Parts: sequence; structure tokens; C-alpha cells
Amino acid sequence: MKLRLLTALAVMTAACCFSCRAHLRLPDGFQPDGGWSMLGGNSGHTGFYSGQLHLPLELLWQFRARGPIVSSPVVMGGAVCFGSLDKRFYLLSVMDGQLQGSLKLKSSISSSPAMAGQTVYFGTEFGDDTIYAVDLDTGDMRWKAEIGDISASLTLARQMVFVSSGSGSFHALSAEDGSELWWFQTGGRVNSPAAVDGEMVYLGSDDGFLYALKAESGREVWRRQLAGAIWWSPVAHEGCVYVGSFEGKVYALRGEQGEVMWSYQGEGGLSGSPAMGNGRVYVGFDDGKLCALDATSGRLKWCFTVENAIPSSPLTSYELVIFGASDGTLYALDGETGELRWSYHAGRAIVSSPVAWQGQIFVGSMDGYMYAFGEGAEDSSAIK
Amino acid sequence: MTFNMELLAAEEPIMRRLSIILTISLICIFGLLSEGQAQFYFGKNKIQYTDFKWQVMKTDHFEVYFYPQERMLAEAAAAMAERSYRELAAKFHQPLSRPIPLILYSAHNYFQQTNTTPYMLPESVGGFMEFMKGRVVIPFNGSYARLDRTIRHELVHVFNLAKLRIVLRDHDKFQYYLPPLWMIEGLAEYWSGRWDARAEMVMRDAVISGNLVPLEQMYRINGTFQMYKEGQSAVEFIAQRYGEDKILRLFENWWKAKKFRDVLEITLGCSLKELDRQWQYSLKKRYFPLMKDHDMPEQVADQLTTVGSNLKPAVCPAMGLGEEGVVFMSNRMGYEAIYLLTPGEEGNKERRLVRGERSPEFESLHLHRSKLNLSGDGVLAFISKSRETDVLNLMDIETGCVVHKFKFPSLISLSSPCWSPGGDEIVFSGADFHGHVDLYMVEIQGGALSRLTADIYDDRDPSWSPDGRFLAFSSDRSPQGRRGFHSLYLYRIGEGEIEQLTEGSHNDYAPSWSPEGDRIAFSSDRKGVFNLYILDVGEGDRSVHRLTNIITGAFDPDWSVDGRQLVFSAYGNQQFQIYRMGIPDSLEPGVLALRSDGGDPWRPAKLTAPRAPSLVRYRKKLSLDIAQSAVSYDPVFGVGGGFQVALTDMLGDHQYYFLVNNIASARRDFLSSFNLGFSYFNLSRRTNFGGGGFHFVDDYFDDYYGWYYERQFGAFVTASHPFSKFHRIELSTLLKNSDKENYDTGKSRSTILSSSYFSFIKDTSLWGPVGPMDGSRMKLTLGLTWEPRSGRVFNRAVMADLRQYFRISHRISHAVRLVGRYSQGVEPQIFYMGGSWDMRGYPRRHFMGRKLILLNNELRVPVIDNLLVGFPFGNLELRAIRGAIFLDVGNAWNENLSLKEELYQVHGAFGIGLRARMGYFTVLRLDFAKITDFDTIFPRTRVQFFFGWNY
Repeated sequence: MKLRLLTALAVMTAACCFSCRAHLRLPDGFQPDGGWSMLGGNSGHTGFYSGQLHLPLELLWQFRARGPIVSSPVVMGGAVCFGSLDKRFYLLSVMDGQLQGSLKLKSSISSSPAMAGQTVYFGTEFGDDTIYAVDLDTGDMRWKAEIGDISASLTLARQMVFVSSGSGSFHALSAEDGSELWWFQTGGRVNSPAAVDGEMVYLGSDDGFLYALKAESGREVWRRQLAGAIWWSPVAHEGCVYVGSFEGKVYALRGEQGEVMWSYQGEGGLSGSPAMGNGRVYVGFDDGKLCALDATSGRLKWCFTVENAIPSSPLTSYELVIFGASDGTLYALDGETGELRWSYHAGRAIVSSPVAWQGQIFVGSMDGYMYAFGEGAEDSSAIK
Repeated sequence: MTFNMELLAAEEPIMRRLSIILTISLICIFGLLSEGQAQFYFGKNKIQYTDFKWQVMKTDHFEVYFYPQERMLAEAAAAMAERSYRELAAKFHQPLSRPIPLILYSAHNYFQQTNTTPYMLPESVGGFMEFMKGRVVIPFNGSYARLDRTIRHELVHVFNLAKLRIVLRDHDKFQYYLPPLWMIEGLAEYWSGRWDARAEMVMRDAVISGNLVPLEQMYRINGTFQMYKEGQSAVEFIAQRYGEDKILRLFENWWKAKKFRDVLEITLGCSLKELDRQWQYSLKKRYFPLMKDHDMPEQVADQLTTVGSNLKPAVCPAMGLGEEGVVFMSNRMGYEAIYLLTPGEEGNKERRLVRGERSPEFESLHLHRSKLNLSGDGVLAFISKSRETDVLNLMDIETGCVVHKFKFPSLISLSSPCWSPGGDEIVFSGADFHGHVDLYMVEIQGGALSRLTADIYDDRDPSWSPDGRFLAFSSDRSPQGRRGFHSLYLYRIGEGEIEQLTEGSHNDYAPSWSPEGDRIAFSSDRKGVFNLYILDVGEGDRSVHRLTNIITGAFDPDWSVDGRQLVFSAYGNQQFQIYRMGIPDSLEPGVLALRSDGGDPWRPAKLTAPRAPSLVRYRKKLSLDIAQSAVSYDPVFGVGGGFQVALTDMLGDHQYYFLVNNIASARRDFLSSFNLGFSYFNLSRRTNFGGGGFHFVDDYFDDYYGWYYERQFGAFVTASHPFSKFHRIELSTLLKNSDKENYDTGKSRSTILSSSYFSFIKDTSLWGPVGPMDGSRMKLTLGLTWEPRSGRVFNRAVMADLRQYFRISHRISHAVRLVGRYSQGVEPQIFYMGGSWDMRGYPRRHFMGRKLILLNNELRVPVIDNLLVGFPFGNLELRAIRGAIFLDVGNAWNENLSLKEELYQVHGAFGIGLRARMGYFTVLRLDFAKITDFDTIFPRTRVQFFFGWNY
């Protein structure tokens, strides 16, 4: 009897240990490359893809998670990683969308992960409040840290993980071991990701302030009050910061004190993070307009109107701007003119921002599908 | 949905052994047909007077249900709805996937006929959104701006509920719960329109009079106008203090906790208690300083009334009354009524002239909508709802008799009549089938009707100048009218020209000419709340002078005969009272009434390209309202399971109910143990009718017949015809095959029976928190059950239930109920009595027999209005605890006795009781009774604790 009890305990312990080990492991031959490693493709969250994207796009594969997909995936070296509201983190093969592994967590994932080398970092929402670092090569959990409600995407830069907590604090952790390097408290809740450009970290809070901190130390350099709460990520590029407020005002700031270069007031409220490319800033509004602004002057270039709000941050390339909308459609516009070039209708709203890798587009939808598009035949018509 | 507990005291033998499913099914089936429906024991009647030829206009996001006469209105409503949809989809970050049904009525009198809800719709309901099919049902009241706001308000509910449902579903949370009502309605008010004078009035009064209800206790005033405004104020505070984004964030965080207060704390970072404290503090800072520069009405005018809400005063010439009096409307006793107040040496005397809400002639007096007016010889003109439409009544004040009525076939609703100086004509506002409110004039002799204005604008409150040449009235025809603002206008009698008198982004209402004809008193919110102003209309520039500076609101001025005083109503302490004040010799400096030349008239919204709406005829298409299943287990009777389904069409005119359950205790009995029922009810016509079929089989226990098995199947038809809101007849006929076997006696019988019942029902009751307080209820029933094959009469039944409620004071009443039941035949009906609902002090069903008589007397008194008991796990609150002192007398028997012998055999009970309201549907009852046979009073006090409304 005693032996049986001990055996049972041993089995249970082993099972527990096994379950602690992440089921996220890439198949052999995984080679991390540049890829799309975080929200916006880089620490400044510009959303710019420097490769070639050819239209029309064709659906290559789709994978169904068990719940809506709000966050954007990361794509590196044959792997697509993303979290879902079904409390799972998924790892798919980029070639065919086959499931390579998944990790069940205690709470949902609405923020985009970040990847560096072979390690993927992601955070969970209220109820688990933890940031995880998983080695995709070994499948081991490298570290985890309980920070708070994480609904904002992670930013990786300077071997640090920058994470915003719903409680209003902003943290910089060591990417290596998860130790906290510094933290910063804003005056409100922080739901927006931080953008990193050079030595500076830019962070928006729903207290209406944009904060500029030193990346190494977290020391505040300046703060600028905007017209309302900041829900979405700033975009930082070459010393300029572009950010929008909830009430639909877009700002461009630069300089040591964050002087406002220009501002643009949309007719509706802002519904997603801006993106930039080719000297333009692209912003989506909740009245269904995607507008292109001149990055230097803020002058409106064009607006394209869809049925419903545009919650996803656009993906830009040299020629195109691609975004998802609440009407469930993925749109591709001519970046110069705003003319519709291609579209695809998924089931439900597309809140996730599309990402690109080797000419392919990946985007998640509220219908629970992760879609992968690639170059289609010349004569294939615009899809759905 | 309300339950009618009387149904559970039905005439038929109550089956002791009922499967739970069947019990729930019957209750739910009848519960769906709540007191507004004719099938209930009592209840008032919702009458479908009008045969609407419904059509459907399909737009991008809506299906607008309308009838041809309101086509223009429907197009405007569709445009408003689409615009609101776009804005709200952006605000909620949530588009909707299905078209929203929007059902439009061109007048409130039509709206009250709707079957989309089983409830009676009082005039205070300006529209609603219902859960079953997500329908938005709205009446038009003459103002397009008001329609726009109402549509938007209801759509906020649609989006709000959808957002919460989707957020919970996306996060795998299936426990669907809603924010508190103040939050739901407050958000709808906040996002549907601006903060207006009425909102300001209610909030100022609440704060200054100390009647502000804290957020955590807002449930106490659920459904009241104050709750709406406090909610709107609180939501606005959240937006201003914490950011507009927090409102959306609150809903997006809905999955993070199971209680509103927790989600709020997660979102705002402060507790509900702290938020409440901050909000109340901000209100006090805002409103207390106003006392320095504003007046309370009783400080600047003589208060003439004190009890209840009193509105729409009109000066009554002295005539034979001695001094000048005032007529006004009041709901002080719960019913709407018109009173005459005359001053006297020993104080003011009040006489009730018209009792409203108790007869078909005066179903409603439009307390908040229609003014009163008297002619020089003391004939009162007032409007009442009488059956389908409104009627203009003329009443001689001295005799109290209605001397004439005018009913206009082309007009649905009327308001605010005004006599001509000579007493030959009356002008009033009227709404036609299209819903537009215009001015009309009727000649007293002959009744010829003339239409004075004919347009889309909301023309109200006409007032005749003393020289008979002009009408002053209020209208939204100015450019600011697009946003709902009303200004004053002058209409030249005989010429039809209209001249603008005032202008601005505010409201000017209720003009009243001075006796000299050189001034017009009116009510205006140009300074934030309604106050009285005087407009000079003599020679020269017309200027407006402020007369009152009341902190809350003053309305409906009327001049005394000598032109030196005004009577008006003012708001304070959550009620309206009537006041009288003198006109000062010199008024405040005036401002120009009209500074601009006006502007282009506005037109209602129209749907914009590119997609034109499609129009189709309405087709009855059923959809699911209720589908529920249940499984039950009883240690004695075994297992049962089943489901029930309710299907109705979009307009609620056609209702289908299906019920299936099985009570087999062994496999071999499965097929033979099905209980099936289906019924169909057609509510589209004035006479409601229905029918259905059933198959029931079960073992039953009856106190009289004992244990027996019965299998019955058959069909029934039923019809109900209302004569008025208060009276109806019902007829039902049932034909069934009945196989019955009595386990105790071994006797069995198999027969075909037909039962027919005919009832006359009257209900004018006024309800308090735990039951009726005033009015009367009556039900008289004749029943016959017979065997068609042999012609043999199984039983006859005569039943009477008479209830009268004598109002002793505002909160005390004496309730009397007399019940008599008699059945005769081969298998007479057996009636039961005993327990908390009829003969208190005795066990339930203690008395049984084919004859029954019962007399209840009960004095109903208030005890405690609110009792809050704190427990470690939370608070228990009992609201509206009422007391009762009762005397019950009655008996049931089978023998054929003389009346004297029957009276000698009656039993009685007397005692005291308490009733406590628990939520909306339940009343707890606690009675302490002593029983007697009228020879002896038995010493033991019987305590009974049960539930149920007062009779």
C-alpha cells in the first residue's frame, strides 16, 4: 500500500514537472533570422517591411485557435508564434501552418509577443499577470515574472524586455534572466506598448501623458500632455515620435523636450497604433478612415474609408499599406494614393496587426484563425 | 415578466403531484401572458384598436417596421438610426452583425397597443429595447429631435448589451451579468444627448433638498426619472474625471470580474464607494453655491398645494365661487385627477372634479403633457384618453358635469386646449395619423374642425390673445429646432401668417397672454433651468424680462383675471407644486426677444446614398423567444424531464407555445408517459383568441378525491374581448377525453367532457408596493362541464370574486374581498380554502367543498419603508414593509343547507400581519392569527409565513 502510494506520488510529481515544461519547441533545423520579431517589426514599432510584397495575395493556409486572436504574431526562421484569448500560446510552422506546439496558461493573451534569438517572450492578462520567456530550441521555460495585467505588447531592445502593466507601472526586465532592471510609475493605467528608439523609451499612459525615459535607467527625460488617454503604441523613428490620443488627435514630437512638431485631429477617435513608411504616417480611426499623413508636416495626404473602425496597426512596405478592420476585412492599399488594391474578408473583426516575412503576410482574426497569405497567380482575382 | 399569483388559486382542483417541469411550464406559459394580457385572472387590458398595415424598410443595419401613414417618419427614423449606428459602433469599437428591428409608432396612443411587450405602457415610457428579439420600439411625440435622441438612447442599450456579451464570450465567460440599471440608463442618456434643463432641475433639487441617492443605493429608485438623471450625471463625471476612454475600457474589462464594483475598480483604480464620494462632492460644489443667487419657489411665491405632484394650473374665474380659484392636475392619490382649489376664510378648499384612470372616458388625463383652460363662464376644457384616441372634454365647473365631448376621427392625440375670448371656439394641439403635431380649431357649435398649421414641426401650447386676433404658441420650426429647441410664435387668426417672437438655442414653452393683451408670460430654460419670463408684445421692440429665478424649475404660468398675479407650477423636493405670485410693478431689464431674421427652415434627416433602402410587406415570421429544458428527480415520484419553447413573430401578435415532457418511471411506460401541449394566441385584433391541444397523463392527489390516475387529451379554444382598458369578457371551451382511475376507491371512468367558461372581468386597481391600494377588481364566472355523448351535465359552476379597496389616506386603505363559489353536478368542482392567501390561521386547503364563501377585511397600513440589516456577508434589505389588520370569515361545504344553517357554520380568523417586498416579483407574508368558530376563540396564535401579493 505504501509502495503504491509512493509510486503514485512519483508519477504525479513527474507529470507535474512535465507539465511545467513548455510544449513549445521548434523542430530541428530552426534557424532564427531577422523576421518579424515584435509588434511593428522593430522596437520603434514602425510597422515597415522592407521586403517585397506582391499582389494579388493568395491564402496559403489558415490555422484555427480555440479563441479569438487579438495580438499580432511574430515570425522568425520558419516559426509563427502568437497568443490567443483561449489562454494558449501557439507555435506553428510558417510553411504550412501546422501546429508545432502550444502552451496552456491561466489567462488570455491579448498582447503581441517578442522574439530574440531562440527565445520568445509573451505576457498574460488579468488572472495570470505574468511574462514568460520560453526557449524554443529546448522547449524550456527560461524564466517567468509576475508583473501585472499585461495587455500591451512587449518590446525587446538593448537586451531588455519592456513591458507595461495594467496597474500603471512600466518595467524593464533583463531578457536573459527576467530580473527587474528598473520600473516607472505613470499617473494612470498603461495599456500601450512602449517604443524604443536608440537610448530612449517612449511610453503612453491613459493619464494623457507621453513619457520619454532613458532606456538604460528608466530616468524620465520629459513628459508631454496630449489631448486624451493614450491607448496605443507610439511609433519612434530617427528621433521622432508619433503617437495618437483616444480622442483622435495624432502628434509628432521630437527633440530633447519632446516639442510638438505637428498635430492632426481626425474626425473620429483613434482606434489603433499608427505605422509609418515612405515618409508617411498611417493612422486608423474608429469612424472607419485610414489616413495617410505627411510625416514631416502632418498634412493629410489621403483617407480611405471602410465600413467600421480600424483597430489594427497597419503594415507598410515601399508600395503598400495593409491593415485589418472591424468589418473583418484585410485591406491592401496603394501607399501613395490610398487606392484599394486588394482585400480579403475573414469571419470577424481583424484587430491583430498584420506582419510580413519573406513576402508573406500573417494576420490573426477574432474568428480564431491565423491566416497566411502569399503571392498569388497573376490572373487570380481579389479574394473574397 | 410579472407573475400573477392569483393564477395559483385557480378554480380547478390543484394537482398535488405535478412534475416540476409541468408546473414550471404552466407558470411560464401563463407568466408570459402577464397582467397586460386578457388571459389572466384580473389585469387591465391592452387593446388593439387599430389595424396597422405593417411594412418593413430594410437599411444597412436596420429593419424599420412602419405603417403607410408614417412613411415619412420611418424614412427619417431610418436615417437617424443609421447615423447613430455609425457613431455608436465607433464608440463601442464593436459593429453588430445582425440587423436591428426598429418598430415605430406615430403616436403614443398607438404605441400603447404594441404586443412586443406584454406590459402596459404608461405615458412616461418613451421607448424601450427588449431582450428577446433585440427589438427597439419607439413612439413619435411630434418632435424629430426627440425621436433622434430616443432612437440613439435605445441603440446605446443594443450596443451595450452586445459589447458585454461579446467580451464575455471571447474570454470564455458564460455568466452573463449586467451593470446596475443606473449605469445602463445613465450611459444611454449620456451618449444620446446633451445635459438639458430637466436633468439640471432634477439634480439641483436632489442635491439641495438632500434627496440625492448614493450610487450604491440607486436600486431603491430603479426606473425613476431621478435614477436616469443621477446615472447620466455619474457617467458624465466618470468621463470628465477619468477620461471618456474609461467608459469603453469598463466594458472591455467586463470579463475580469464577476461584479460591477470590481470591474469598476480595475478600470478606474478607485472603488465604487470612493467614486460615489467624489461624485457627490463634485455635485455639492456645483450646486450649493447656486443658493446664493437663486430662490426656492416657496420663498418667492405662495404655495397652494403640498401633497403629491400638482401641475398644469389654470385660473378659474370667480363666478359663484366667491373668489378666483385654480384648477390643476394631480396624482396625489396615485390616480391622475383634476382638482379645483378655491381660497376660503379658513384656508384653501380643494374639490376633485375629474377622477382619472378608472373609467374608459378618462383612461388618462396626460398629466405631464396637456394644459387645462377655463372659459369666462367657468367651463373647463381638458383632454383625456378615451379608448383609442384622445377626447376634448368640456366640463361645467359648478355642476361638475361634462357638458360636451369632441372626438376627431382624423386625430390620434390632443393636448392643451385654449378657449377663444368669446367662448365660441377652442384651439388645441393635435397629432394626426402621420404623427405630426399641429394646431387645430374647433367650433363649439357644430363641431367644425379647422387645421391651422400643417407641417412637420411640433406646434404646442396655443394661447389665444384677449382681442381674439392672435394665437401664441411654441414650436420647433426655427433653425434651432433641428436640435429640438422650441421658440414662441404668433399666429394671425384668419390669415394664417406665422411670426416668430423669440429665438435661441433654448426652449420657450407654454405662452399665456395677459388679460390686457400686451404681455405674454412663458416658461424658458434660456438660463439653464426653466423659469418664468414675460415678453412685451406691445408697440416697439419686443423684449423678454425674467420674472423668476427659481433654482429648480417653474412651468406653465397662467394670469389671474386682474392681470396682477400668476399661478404656475414649480419643482421641488422631487415633486411639482402649484404656486401663486404677484407681478412686480417693474421687471428686470429686458433683452431683445428676436435679434436675427431667422433662417432656412429645417427638414428631417434623409438616408444618404449609395444604398437605397428596400421596402417589403410585413410577413409573419416566427422566431424563438424562449427555449428551456429541465430534468427533475423526486425520491417518491421518480425522474422527469422535458422542454418548452415559445415562438412569436416580430410584432408579438402571434404567439406559439410548445411543451413536451415525460414522466415515465420505467422504460415500458415511456411512450405512454408523454405530456404534450401546444397553444397559439392571436393578439393582433381587438378580440384576442387562441387555441391548442394537449395530452396529459399522470398520477394526481387531491384532498377530496384522493389518489387517482388520469389521462386526458383534447383541445381548447379561448377568446377575450375587452370593452375598455378596465373591462373585458373571456370565453373558453375545452373538449377532452378523460380516462380516470381512483386508486383509493378503485372506481374508474372514461368519458369525453366539454367545459366552457364565461367570465366578466373588471380591474381599476391601483397598486402599492405589496398589492392593490385603491380601485376595485371583479370577476364573475359561469362554467359548465358536460358529456357530449350522453348530454349529461357533469357540473355547473358559478364563481364570483369581488374586491374593493377603500382609500382612507394616502398610504392607508381598507381592502374587502367577497368570494363565492358554487358547483353542482355528477362530479362537481371542489373549491379549497385556507392559508395565507385566503383564510389565514388555517392550514392550506383546510376547507373544501362544492360551495364556498369567503369575506376578507383587511386594513393595510405602512410600517417601515426601508429596513437594512447588516450581515458579515453583506446587507439584507427589506423595502416597503407593510402591516395588515385582518378579519376573515368563510367556509366551504358540500351539504345542502339553508342560508341560516350555512351562516352558522362559518369560521373566522383575525389577526395582524406583515408584508415585505423582495425585489420585483415576490412579497413575503407573515401573519399572526387567531381562529374562531364564532362561539369560541381558540387561544393558540397561528403563525404563517408564506409569499404572495396582497389580494
